[in-house]
Amino acid sequence: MKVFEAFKIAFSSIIQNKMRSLLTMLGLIIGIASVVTVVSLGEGTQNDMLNEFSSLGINTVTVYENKDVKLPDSEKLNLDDIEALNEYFKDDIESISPRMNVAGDIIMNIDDTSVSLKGAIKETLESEDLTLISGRFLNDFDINSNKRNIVISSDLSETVNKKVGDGILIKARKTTYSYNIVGIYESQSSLGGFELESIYIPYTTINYMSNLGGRVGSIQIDFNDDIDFEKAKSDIINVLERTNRNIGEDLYKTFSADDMIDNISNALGQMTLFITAIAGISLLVGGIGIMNIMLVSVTERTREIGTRKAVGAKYRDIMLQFLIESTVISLIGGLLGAIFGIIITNIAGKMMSISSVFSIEALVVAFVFSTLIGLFFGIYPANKAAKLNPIDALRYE
Amino acid sequence: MISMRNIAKTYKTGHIYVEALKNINLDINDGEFISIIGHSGSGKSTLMNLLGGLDTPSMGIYMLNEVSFDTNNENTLAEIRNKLIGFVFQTFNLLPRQSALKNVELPLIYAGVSGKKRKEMAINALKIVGLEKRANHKPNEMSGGEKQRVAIARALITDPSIILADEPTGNLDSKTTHEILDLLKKLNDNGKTVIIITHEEDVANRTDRIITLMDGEIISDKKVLK
Ligand SMILES: Nc1ncnc2c1ncn2[C@@H]1O[C@H](COP(=O)(O)OP(=O)(O)OP(=O)(O)O)[C@@H](O)[C@H]1O
Ligand SMILES: [Mg+2]
Repeated sequence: MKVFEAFKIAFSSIIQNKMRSLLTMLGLIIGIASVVTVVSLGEGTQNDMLNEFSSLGINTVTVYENKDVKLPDSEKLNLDDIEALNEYFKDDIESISPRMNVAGDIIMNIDDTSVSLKGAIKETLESEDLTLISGRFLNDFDINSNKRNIVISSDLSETVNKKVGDGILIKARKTTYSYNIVGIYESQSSLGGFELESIYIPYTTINYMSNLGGRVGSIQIDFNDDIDFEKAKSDIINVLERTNRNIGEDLYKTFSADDMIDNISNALGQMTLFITAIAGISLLVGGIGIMNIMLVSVTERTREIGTRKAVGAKYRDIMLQFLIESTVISLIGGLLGAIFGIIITNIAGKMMSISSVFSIEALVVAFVFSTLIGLFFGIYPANKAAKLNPIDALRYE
Repeated sequence: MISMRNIAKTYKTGHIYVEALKNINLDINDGEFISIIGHSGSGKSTLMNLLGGLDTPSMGIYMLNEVSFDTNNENTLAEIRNKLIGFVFQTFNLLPRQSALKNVELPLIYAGVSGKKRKEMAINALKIVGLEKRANHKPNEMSGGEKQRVAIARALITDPSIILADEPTGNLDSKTTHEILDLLKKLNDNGKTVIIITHEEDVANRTDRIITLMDGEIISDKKVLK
């Protein structure tokens, strides 16, 4: 018998039992649909994050202190370290700046507004991707002479009803000073929505005001495009350890966007794995459902099998007929599942504003898996049918 | 040409052995018209199943066209059933959801004949049994006699040399019985070996040779005088 004939027999049998076939497919439809959805959404999320981070600057390294160790004050990151790094990297660096944030409150008549004071240098305008809409950004003079000049966001300027040239009272570290607004930058729509408004202030001013003695929270370095990033990161540590004479003590850490991406990819990967495992269980259940229905079908059609054998069907012919039937059921289930998965991905993607990725891989996986499930769970019933003795089968009531 | 030498068939159910056939020696020439009679349980169906390669003997030698073959090889038996033998059953054994045409085509699927050729041949076979107008009817839309004619068309579609019929008229009234017998006689006239199992004396008397079974043994084998 030709394989093509076996397909025809399988299809006509599936069509004769539409409802039953559909119910049998259900487990598989759900399983495959969830795999496709999870994989596609996961990939979409990952892509979104990648885009997000590459816009934040893929060449940026943040240097910070190892939080698991208590550093003596003298070995904490400070302005001298920045100088040393600047010296070492020279032309490879686009900008290097200290990072220090101090929480503060704007003192007003009615309500205080919490803000975050960010230590800045003049390159901060660029490295933070800020757009000035009025006034100017902090300049070298502000920084060298610890000026209490600040740049605030357009949203904040509206909230507190202040413009360039106005003074504003901010309480930080228990002391309240008046600061001059020298510039206003355009507010960016923030990701989380719960971030405090950022106010940029000369880092020297923060240092002086908070009595930090030159210490900085962390250091941000923007490298040029053409450097060996991994080597630069290990060089940073070497320079710092040499400067502070604590070689090998592992007191400093670096962090960059690609570390972040690795972390997120890892977390997403684990999540995908987990949900895929659950979906795998539903595929298993779907497969068992197929096996069950095929066993029922073989029993129901015992006389048919006897008749086919009496007119010359061989073991192989009957085996093929039932294996193809189970595989076709499974495959249709898988493809329907994939279609539903794509639809769900699109809807869910829109609702959660994740760009949905049409994952060819997921489709291929669905296709391969459902074929394998159909074959695997079809073998037992098909073998049972194929090895029936023709006489017993014909006599079956 | 069929030859059986010392054929026996024993069924085992639990610890009980049933000797359904013993010591069967039988020669059937090409083109014979034979009936097998005997009481219920005498082993007629068992003999028929062995003749048709549906079952394997417990011992003995079975030769078709002077070749003895391995009765334990499933594929050989399937091949024989497909090419050399046509079965007609008391209960018709048609596929209930398929049209008469598709039912008649069935053996050709396993003979590897292509779809177009199959249809042609099936229509031809239905013409021989006078049912070409019923080609698209399902079994449940046909009378018993019509169903049996479809079964006969299916039996002769691969042009086998032997037609085996196990009580083909057992479920039919006497008028239809004779129509079916006429049809089988016609096939015999065209050179096929036809072997019929029957209970009915007048059915047996229409054949040329009557073999009588009793308790699994042949007790008489004689020509019918006409
Ligand atoms: N599969 C089987 N298992 C056990 N015993 C069987 C089996 N098939 C047949 N027999 C026994 O073999 C003997 C012969 O049975 P067989 O069917 O050949 O009789 P028969 O002559 O065709 O009878 P009937 O006229 O009622 O059809 C009977 O005693 C029967 O019980
Ligand atoms: Mg019988």
